[in-house]
Amino acid sequence: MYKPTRLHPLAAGLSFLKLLKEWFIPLIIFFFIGPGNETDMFWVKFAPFLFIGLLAVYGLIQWFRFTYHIEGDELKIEHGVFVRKKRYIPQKRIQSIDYTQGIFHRFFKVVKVNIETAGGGMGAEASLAAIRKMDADQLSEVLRDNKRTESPEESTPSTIESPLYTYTLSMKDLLIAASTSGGIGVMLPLVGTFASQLDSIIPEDFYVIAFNWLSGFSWVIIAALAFISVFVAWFASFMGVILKYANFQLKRYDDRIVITRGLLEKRELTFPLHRVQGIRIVENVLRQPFGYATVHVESAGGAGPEAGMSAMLLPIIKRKHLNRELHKIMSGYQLPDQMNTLPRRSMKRYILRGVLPSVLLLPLLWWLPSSLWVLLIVPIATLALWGVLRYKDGKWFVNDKAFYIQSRGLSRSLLITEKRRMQDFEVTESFFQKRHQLTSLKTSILSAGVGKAFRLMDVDRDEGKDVFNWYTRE
Amino acid sequence: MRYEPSNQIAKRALTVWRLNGIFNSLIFLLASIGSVVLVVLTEVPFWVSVIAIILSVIVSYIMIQVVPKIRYRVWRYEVREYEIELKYGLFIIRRVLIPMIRVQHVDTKQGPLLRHYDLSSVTISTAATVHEIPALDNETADQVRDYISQMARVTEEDV
Repeated sequence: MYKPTRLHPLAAGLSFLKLLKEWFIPLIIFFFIGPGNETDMFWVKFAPFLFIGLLAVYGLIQWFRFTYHIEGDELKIEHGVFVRKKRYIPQKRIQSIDYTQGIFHRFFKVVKVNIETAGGGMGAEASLAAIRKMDADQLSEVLRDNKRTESPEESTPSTIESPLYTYTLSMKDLLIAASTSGGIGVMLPLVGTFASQLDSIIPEDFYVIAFNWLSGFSWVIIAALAFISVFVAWFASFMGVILKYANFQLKRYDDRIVITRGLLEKRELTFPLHRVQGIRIVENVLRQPFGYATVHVESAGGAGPEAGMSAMLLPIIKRKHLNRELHKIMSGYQLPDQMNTLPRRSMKRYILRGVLPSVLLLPLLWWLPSSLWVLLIVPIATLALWGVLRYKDGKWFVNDKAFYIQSRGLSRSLLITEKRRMQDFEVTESFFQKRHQLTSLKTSILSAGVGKAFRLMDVDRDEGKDVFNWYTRE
Repeated sequence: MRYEPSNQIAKRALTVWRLNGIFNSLIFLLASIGSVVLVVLTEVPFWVSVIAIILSVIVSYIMIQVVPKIRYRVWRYEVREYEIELKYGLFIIRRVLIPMIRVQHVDTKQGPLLRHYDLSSVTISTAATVHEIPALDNETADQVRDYISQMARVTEEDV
């Protein structure tokens, strides 16, 4: 650890696999399309294999050239095949260290270590592709210890810390989370894309035949086909959640939260508590009726592989148990008993905002026979209802320490953040809002190295001013 | 919110914004010319070009005269001991509070146009957001910048 050390040899294999992935498309093209069968030049046929061999050698050299060690108060990493690169990371800058395990890692009992530094975003970060779990623990022990000495309190001799609280996701909850994930919205286009990829394989007259064959059937068949594709999409998102959140376990230590999860690929995320900027309680359309919510955590520092997004603190939880669990995990954050609602006069504006996009449907009036105009009422009514729902869910609340802001896009989402974590605060008033004495609130917090803004439209103006005064420090 | 921010930005900002407005309205001028050419060369009725010209005159007037005026009239800023307050906007009036302890750095910038008029803009960055006071006197901008960076340094809080 204090002398330049190489990674576990598995890292060479992983490098090779990564290179193979990058060159996959060209290789495929070369194999199938490249040289016609006419060529009898032996080496042309042999070239792809030669190339793959080269990639393997390159992976091996990459592994050979990669060393890491701790010197003084810096983690030093040196790597590079043609260009030698050195990256020195001062231990003080290190925000979080976390492990991930792929399938191969498990087989060799090694982990991948991700080291995140402050400043998130494009900040320096390092990852050690494969090192023995024991070494990883030792390394993070040393790196953490150094961080401890920064704080005035005595650094205790490092004993194995036991968590203050452990939360485990039950199988039942996992299944509920998976079946209501709403990932279907993401998966449907994917299924569509996949289907359209089949285009190139399917002979053209197949469509003509298929169409004739289909039009012979009734709507029932078409509905069934639609149902099947929806089901496939749902199942894909279901499996996605299972893979991601199986074995979910959250451990609360004195100064940090450690989350481990994953079925095939084990992930470990660490959140230093002092970097947490807020939590978001999200209830999607499928979960809200059953009283379920998810809790995301917004963290300023790198949070490992999910640094680019806010990570899931609680994948699924009954709303009525929220306060109980939050109290054990992050005692500062609690759902308030009551929140301030929007004034009645904003409802009209919410409905209008919902319905406005349907102006785009107006040209349809010209096409549709007047008897079918009724059809347009359905989407418009839905949008109007949605507006009412968004109005009802728009809520806010402040107390001496925290700010609560809830709004609905598709899902209902409540942000709880501390006053000292708010980067700025804004009240905006448009020309139309002025007439109704309404204002909009907006605040930004830091999340994974970038700003994230939260808005609430059409709050009573005087109440908005009160929040403004609450935020002011003068 | 006991008192509104009181400092206005430099009067010369109006000139700069007007020049920008003129640049931006050139495209409408081109469109009008294009419509005239169309009328002359093709069967397009001449009222099309009349409408185009009228519209572009109105839009240009708004862009060159009205918008800069309103923006200038609304713009206010105030740098206090613990926070910065900005107020600006056109149709939507924004009031922003930026606590000093959240300020990460302050810069002054000037493009060629601003430099010609001895103006600079001040950019205030927090960890999550960036705010700008456009077009202050160079001197004022420097003062504002130095004061903010001094005040921001006084209080260091963990993000």
